Formats: sequence, C-alpha cells, structure tokens
Amino acid sequence: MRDRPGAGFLAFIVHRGTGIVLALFILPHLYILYFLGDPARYEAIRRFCSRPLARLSEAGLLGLVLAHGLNGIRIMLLEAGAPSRIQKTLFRAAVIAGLLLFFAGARLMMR
Amino acid sequence: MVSKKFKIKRFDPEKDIPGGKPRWEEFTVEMDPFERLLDGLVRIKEAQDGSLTFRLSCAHGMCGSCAMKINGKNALACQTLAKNTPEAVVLEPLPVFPVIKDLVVDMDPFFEKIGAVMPWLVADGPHPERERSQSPEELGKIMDAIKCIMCGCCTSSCPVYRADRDYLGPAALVKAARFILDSRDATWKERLKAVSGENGFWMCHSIYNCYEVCPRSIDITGYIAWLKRLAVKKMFFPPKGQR
Ligand code: FES
Repeated sequence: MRDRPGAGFLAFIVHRGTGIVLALFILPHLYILYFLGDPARYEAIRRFCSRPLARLSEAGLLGLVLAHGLNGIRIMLLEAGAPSRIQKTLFRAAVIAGLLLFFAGARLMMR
Repeated sequence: MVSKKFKIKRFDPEKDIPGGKPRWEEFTVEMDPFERLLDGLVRIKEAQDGSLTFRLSCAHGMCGSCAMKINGKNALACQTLAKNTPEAVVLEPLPVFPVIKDLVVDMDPFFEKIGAVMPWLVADGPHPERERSQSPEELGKIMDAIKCIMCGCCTSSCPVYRADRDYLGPAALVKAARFILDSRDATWKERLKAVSGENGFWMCHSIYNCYEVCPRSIDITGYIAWLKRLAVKKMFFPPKGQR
C-alpha cells in the first residue's frame, strides 16, 4: 500500500464518490419529473428551483457530473488500450478540463 | 559515508500480540550513499540486533525476497539506494499479508492465487526433438510479463485485494496474461475462464497502485486491461479453433 494516495487511487475515489452521489440524486430527479403531468405542482417546483440556493446546488450538480464523466472517460480510454504511463497525465487533464468547464458552466448558470 | 536512521516496525510472535500496538525500533548505521538499504539491514543484524528478521537471497532484485514497505511505498530493499532515501527510513513488512516476524510476511495467500491461474505451459502436439522455439516477435509479446519476480509488491499494494482477499490480485493476473500471450501455449480458454470469474480481473478498478510500485516496471494494469478486452472480444467474436 502506498501511504500517500497516488493519482490512480484519487481518481478512483472521486469517480466512485461522485457516482454514488449522482445515483442518489437520480431519485428526487425522477420524483420531480413525475409531476410534469401536473402543471400547478410543477410550476411550484419550478419556482422553488429558481431560488439562489437551488441554483447554487445545480452548479454543484454540474461539478459532480463533470468529475464523474471526465474520470469515466479517463478509465475508458485506459481500459481501451491507452498506455498506462499516461494515466497520471490523463487524471491531471481531467481535473483541469473539469475545473475550466465547471467555472464556465457555473457562471452561465448563476447569471 | 552517511548516517542513516532505520525506523523498523517489529513483531515478535513470542512476545507481541498479533494486531496489537506496533513496536517501532530505531537503529543508526553508517552507509555509503551507493549502498542499498538491504546492506544496512544486514549490518544491523550482524552488529546491533541479531534478532532482526527479514528475507534476502539474491541481493540483486532478482528473487523478490526482500520486498517490504519502504517509506510508505512497497519496494525491494536491495534495489533502493541509501542516497535515494531521506535521512530516516521507515521500514515495514509488506501490508495485507500476515506478518510472521518483523519484516517477514506469510506469502502463502499470494502463491495460492498464482497457483490458481495454472502458471505452467500447456503445449499441444508431439514433444519436439529440441526446445519449442519462438520468434523474436512472439517472445516480445511476453517479454514484459516474464520479468515478474513474484515479490508481492503489487498485490499487497492493491486496494481491491486489501478489501477482498479472494481477489486473485495483480500478480496472478499478469501470470495468466503471460501464458495466454505465449505462442507455445495451447489452452487460452481454460486460462481465461480461471481469471474471468467473480474473483478475477473484473474486480480490478484500474487504480494503478500495482503499476506504480512494481520494482520490475511491468505494465501490470495494462495487462489486466488487456485481459478485460480479450474477454469482451472472445464473447462477441467467439473463435472457431483453439487460438
Ligand atoms: S534479495 Fe532478491 S530481490 Fe532483493
């Protein structure tokens, strides 16, 4: 075991952790979609979602999706045959791309 | 000469309680910067404490006996030069495997996993008069995997193996890949079956600890990924013949 976690281990923890949170998020998400057929209640939910705190959590959701998705792409590339020696570089690339996309996306969302 | 402090995690089965509080002991040794940590251990045993227990055999990174955790990372003591370590080195037995004494661990669980993947050549056809020959290209395919000295650094660094001791682990999977890739071997089907079960390569999360610690720089995680691809390929495009 390495006392200091390596890039691969960090990537695994981030991927697994965000995966679990996203799986939990799917439940209320589906629950809300269920009200699409009821305009009045849907409108109430929509109003609730336009509150600043709800919008902030949406930006958080974007962060989760980016972290999970980009790490997923990294693993897929590596398991599809990308050389092991670039695994750390791929993790760094995923972190940088994730942060850039997150700040760009969050700015648009919070406008 | 430099003065090296060795901080060693010790365990004496006759004195200490297994799993109890670890006992750390410190020794100071004068070393040439180009000496290996193993030389320091030998000197401690010879001159300071004869009861210090560790394995060694070849002292040249060839037998895999002296694998241990060096400053938080699995490595070979005979491959780690004094000049490449900080003033104080922390030595611990390989993690996960049961400790027998001091830096010596029980490698039986490790070799059981290797044994489970048929680590021998199964050649078909009549016995050739001389050896079964390979072209340089065919040898090239297994060249990396045959470097394995079975020291256990990889398997003991794997978080998946740490969480589930039934997992075959990286070393056994590389061994399986090595024989599947061998042009002289005739039985990839049984081999793939032995490593694609619930304790096989699908448990690998591509964490790359094995790849990072391998003292022989074998692309272990790469071989495991190759096994995964092979299994998918054979499932969708089942081959007609044996190979
Ligand atoms: S003593 Fe043989 S590998 Fe270190």
